[in-house]
Amino acid sequence: MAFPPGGGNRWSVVSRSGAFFNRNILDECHQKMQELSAGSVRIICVAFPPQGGNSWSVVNNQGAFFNRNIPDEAHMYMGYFSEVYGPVRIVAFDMDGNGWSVTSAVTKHEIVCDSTQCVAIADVYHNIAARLENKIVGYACTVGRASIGAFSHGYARTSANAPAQLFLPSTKIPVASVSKVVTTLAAIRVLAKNHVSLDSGIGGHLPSDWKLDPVVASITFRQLLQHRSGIKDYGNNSQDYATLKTFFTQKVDPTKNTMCQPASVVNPPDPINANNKLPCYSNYNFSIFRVLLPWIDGFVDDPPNRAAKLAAAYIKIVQTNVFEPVGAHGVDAKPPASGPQASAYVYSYAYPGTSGGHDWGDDSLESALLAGISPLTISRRSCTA
Amino acid sequence: MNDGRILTQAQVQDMEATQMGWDTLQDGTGYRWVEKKGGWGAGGTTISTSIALFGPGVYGALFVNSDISAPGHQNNWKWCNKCQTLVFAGNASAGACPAGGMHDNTKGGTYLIAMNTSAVMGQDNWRWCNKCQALSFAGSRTLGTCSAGGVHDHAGSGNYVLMQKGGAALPDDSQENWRWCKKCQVLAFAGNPSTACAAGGVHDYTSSGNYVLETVVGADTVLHNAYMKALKPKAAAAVA
Repeated sequence: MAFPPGGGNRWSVVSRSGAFFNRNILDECHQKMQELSAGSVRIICVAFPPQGGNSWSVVNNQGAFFNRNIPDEAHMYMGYFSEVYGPVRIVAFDMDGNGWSVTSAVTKHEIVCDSTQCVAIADVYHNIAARLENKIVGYACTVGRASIGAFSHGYARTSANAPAQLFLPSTKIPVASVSKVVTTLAAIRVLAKNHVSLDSGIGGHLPSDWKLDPVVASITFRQLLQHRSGIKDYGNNSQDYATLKTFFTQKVDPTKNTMCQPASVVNPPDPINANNKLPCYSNYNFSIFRVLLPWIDGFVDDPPNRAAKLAAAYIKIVQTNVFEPVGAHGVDAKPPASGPQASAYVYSYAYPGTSGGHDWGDDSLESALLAGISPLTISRRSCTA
Repeated sequence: MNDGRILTQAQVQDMEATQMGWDTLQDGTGYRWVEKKGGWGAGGTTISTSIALFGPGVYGALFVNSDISAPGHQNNWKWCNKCQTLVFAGNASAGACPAGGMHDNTKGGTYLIAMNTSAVMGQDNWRWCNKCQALSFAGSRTLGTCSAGGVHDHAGSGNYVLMQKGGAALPDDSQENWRWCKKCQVLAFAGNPSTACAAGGVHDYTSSGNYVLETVVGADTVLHNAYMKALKPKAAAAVA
């Protein structure tokens, strides 16, 4: 039996057999209880947070639940428990404060084995939490093979950038170079769709006003994706369209044998080595795909606005070819302009976050993706299965 | 289009086998896995990201929006690859190096040092020299010769606490074999030959304890270590 805060003749009763009766409960809550008890399924828990209004949580005996305006952290735990341990059985809220409790039946406890060793997925989550406890501002993680759980802790924004915002699985964060995997997925898919081999040269797949040195034109897509292009500049700089054009249209002196440069060396001379294709990490190898992929995928050129339109086209390609095929939406290279994430995406901090954080803001012209852990939990099995 | 799949099985195998977008790594135990890590920094702030694929198809991702530190610890201590000394890298000057020129802290790891705390068991009274940037011991009869001239100057320093290796296993993400030089008083890494000491000759670690420093790691290391610590032999896992 549960009572919404505020008193009056308002209550909800659930029987052991699953029958329930609601008196003056919000229509949406009542309707959701009906939906979650269709057929032989039965409601086992309904709870109301202390803030009142349209806030409630409903759980059925199959582990399905629906929450409306409950604390974000409680919602996160319900999802995490459901995926990693087993179905949620009880959710309860402290009427005197912000406390809450979630109880789950341990029926899953996914264990994954190879021929000699096994790993319990819950143990990996536990180890991450133990290592990071009190040592970071915030984090989100996902681990698993069959399960698609996610766990988060701490703050996306601290009180130094008030109001503080919890770091949730859905919280968007710039993923930095992890976006190179996304670029790779998009590249493989777009090239295949357009019948372009990974082992063909990039010459002919860039704007015609880019006059490429033969050494550059012969660099293959695969070499770029493997950091084996001969580019020896780490690329620790801003790489907008103009920078990319300047870099990839430079003359290559085949007599120069520049070695792989560390991140601390910016704009080294003769950065493209025609004679050495050994692996050398360079952001240029991947940022050029922001021009290549739209061009291959039917980009309609608009020379005066080419930079902005290429950037937009590239993001659309990534969304269309990597995230949307698996039902993940909202991944972008800039923070959302509206909705909850507009004021809740991640800032970066120096531990412990008592000083103001850094807002990475709109990076759409350089296309560093903002994503939450949640879209990755959706997409991961589709690219690794 | 929503076909529920990004790549074909053959494309996935090609991507992993030829290391397109991923890095294939091997740790000290010989365990191999694929991962991609990322990191950004601005204004002293950090974002650290990692996604990984371990042995039997286990996927992991970890995003962190700060450095991984600890209460009462100071980040940004680094190893000078010229003189082996631990130096603070958070100031404009790298500090004079006894091996000549300025300290070079660009090739090593970064360390966390406990400061002004009683929560860490260890030896205190280690101080930062505001002239040469080195960490040096202030509990000796002499302050020690400074590579910037004269003796070390600890004005403005916190009180640093160093842990010494005991019988227990080393803590996660830590490095031992840091030693006190009885001549110049600095803390230096003894895993490499000493090449220079501000007091002349090379460092002398006689009578030093074996100090253990906590290394600064990113999301990739945390994710990998969390997985490796969870691995159990198949029989034991079945019993558990």
